[in-house]
Amino acid sequence: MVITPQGDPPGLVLTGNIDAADLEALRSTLLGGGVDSPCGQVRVDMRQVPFLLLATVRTLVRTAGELAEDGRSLVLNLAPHHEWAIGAVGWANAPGLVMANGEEPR
Amino acid sequence: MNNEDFRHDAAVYTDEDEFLAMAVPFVADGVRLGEPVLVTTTPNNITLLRDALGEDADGFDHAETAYFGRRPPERATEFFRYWQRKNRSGTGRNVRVLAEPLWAGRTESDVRAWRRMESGLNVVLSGTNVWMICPYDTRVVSEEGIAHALKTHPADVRGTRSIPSPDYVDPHEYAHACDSVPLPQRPAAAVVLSLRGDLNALRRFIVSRAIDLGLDEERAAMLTVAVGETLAFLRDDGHVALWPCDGAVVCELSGASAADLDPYAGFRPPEVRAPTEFGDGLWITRQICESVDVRVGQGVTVFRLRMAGPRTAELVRW
Repeated sequence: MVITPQGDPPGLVLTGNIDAADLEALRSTLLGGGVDSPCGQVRVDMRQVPFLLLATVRTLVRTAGELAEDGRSLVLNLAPHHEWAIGAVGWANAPGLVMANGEEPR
Repeated sequence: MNNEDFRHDAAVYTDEDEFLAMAVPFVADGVRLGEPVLVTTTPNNITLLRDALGEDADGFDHAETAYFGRRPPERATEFFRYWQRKNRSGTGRNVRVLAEPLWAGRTESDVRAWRRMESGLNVVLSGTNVWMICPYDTRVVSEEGIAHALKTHPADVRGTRSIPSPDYVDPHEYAHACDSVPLPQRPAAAVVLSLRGDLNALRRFIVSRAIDLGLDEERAAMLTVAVGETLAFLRDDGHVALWPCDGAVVCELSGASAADLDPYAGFRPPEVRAPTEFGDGLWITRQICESVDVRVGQGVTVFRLRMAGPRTAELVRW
């Protein structure tokens, strides 16, 4: 897993393979507070992740819930097929989770 | 009779009177007790039941069985999600489901998959308070089909009597028997790529081959989603291959087994708050693909994913 900060808008770009061993580090990075936008959004671009597995999605959704407790949110920019998978399992409207398409949260 | 535990019964019937002798008390008692009741059967049976129930006719949920989950993993999911919506825990009440499978016109592999799911419901719905009765009409189901019904259900209900089935088979044993049927050989002309290497290259290969075989970009991308969840079970000494088969696109992933795989992994929809069960991501694989066959033996795991082909005219759900 490779996490690259991006500046404008502030956020992270994730690339590479995300293994089970990476999930706690991913969660910590998202909760860390160093990449929030001024309105408390943690933006993560995962469109280049080749295989986005359920275990990773579960971590993202749970982390979004933790962010929501602090009035923050997790904005995910995903490839359409990965966004479909989150909707299919019924987690797309989880607390704190925002699905984005390019720069426009939906 | 009702209790809070999971029950999964067959109900073999020979005519409409026998169907109603079983179905009417099952539904009427549920309605009287305030229990959620779902009936999925033929339109004719739904009409018969409504006519027989009189003032209770509007007291239950119903659906034509053909439209309540087209494939086994969809059907299992629909049952589980119905239970999730309707269950009120701690009430000592069941969630009742009368679910008649459709068998006419199915291929041999389809029939095997549906029977396997019937057996698997004993696992997938265990721990719930679903009371499920699966009617089997002897006028349309073969003797062999009836015999398998008694292997996949612990009891057979006649009227209101529950008769334990002496032929009941443990679901894992039943799945093992189903999964012992050999898969057709991979065609010699199928293009193969090693799993060892960059995952981006693997993904590009799958998309490229799928498009070459006639899938559009969207379906090819969905195939990669289905593939992703299988990789955890394979060491990278294996391979991936795609080929056309009977109008579908088959994707094979094979390699030394990296982990044990429960035969019913991926039939229950994952829950965000539940502890991660290894393999629960296969639920996504099973929702995307027309079928998912798994063979494990001699330290090797083989997945055969079957995607609807380019000429499939059914409405795609994504």
